[in-house]
Amino acid sequence: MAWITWKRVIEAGLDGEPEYVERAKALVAFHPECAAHNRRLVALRAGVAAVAREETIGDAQFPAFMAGVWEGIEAPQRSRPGFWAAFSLVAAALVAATAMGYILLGGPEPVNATEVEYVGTDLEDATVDWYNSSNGVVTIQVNMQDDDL
Amino acid sequence: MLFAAWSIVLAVVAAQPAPAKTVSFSVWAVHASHEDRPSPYFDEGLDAIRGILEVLPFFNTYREVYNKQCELQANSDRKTSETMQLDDRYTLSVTLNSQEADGHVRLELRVEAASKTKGEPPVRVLTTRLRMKPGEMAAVRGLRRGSTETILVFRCDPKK
Repeated sequence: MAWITWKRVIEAGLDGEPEYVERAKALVAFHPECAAHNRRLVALRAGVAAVAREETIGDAQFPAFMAGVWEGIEAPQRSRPGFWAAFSLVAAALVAATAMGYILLGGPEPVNATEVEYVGTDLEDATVDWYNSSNGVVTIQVNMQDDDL
Repeated sequence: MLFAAWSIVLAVVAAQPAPAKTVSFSVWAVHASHEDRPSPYFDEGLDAIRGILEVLPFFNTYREVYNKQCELQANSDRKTSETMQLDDRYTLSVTLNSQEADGHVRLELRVEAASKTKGEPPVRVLTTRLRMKPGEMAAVRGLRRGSTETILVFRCDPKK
């Protein structure tokens, strides 16, 4: 772990990072492994610099260069066949047709039991409620006194 | 475009008013009481509703006082309601409000009672609105007559 850390210090010092320059010099001076690593980095840098080549556009090449640029700008977009657009339209139409067919042509829903939607009475002191009897019959119960009438 | 046109046609067809439908409304009025007898008693005409009556508490004697079957229509200008004098006290009015595509019927029932005081108008004892499953029975209890009770049992059946 320490060797990796010192490698980082040597590399940073070679790159000229201010806080690492003096430290890197000290490591290279006192540790053979650090000096060897430093020599490898220096050789690598020199080798890269030797093969690096700057690309330049000369005056004679400039018109052709600009022609290529305009050709790229003005080139027509490659037209797509619109497969996915057509597919989406067909799928939407199919869903809509299926839904309408289900609504209009489908069979009736299963019939549910009797529902009491409203109960009421004009009798004062009387109440009305409803329940399902033990045999499942909806029963409306008027709770009144005989002398309420 | 073709799909849009077809959708419009289907919507117009679906929006057409349903043709008039007829249902058969059956009602029984029973006087229920408790008498000193060894076993429950049911009038002969109550066989169709005996199963509903025999589970009721307190009573052991059931006498049929009214039984009628009538036709009611929905979705038309013709008769959709019927009024029936059940016994010496109670009157039943039934109105067929609508019949749904799945066979359910919407009914409104009103039970009125003659006032004990002469000259007084009848009193509305019960107003109820039901959404009934065809062929299924429902009941009304609690219509007092002194020591007895008038029990209503009714049913709607589709008329073919």
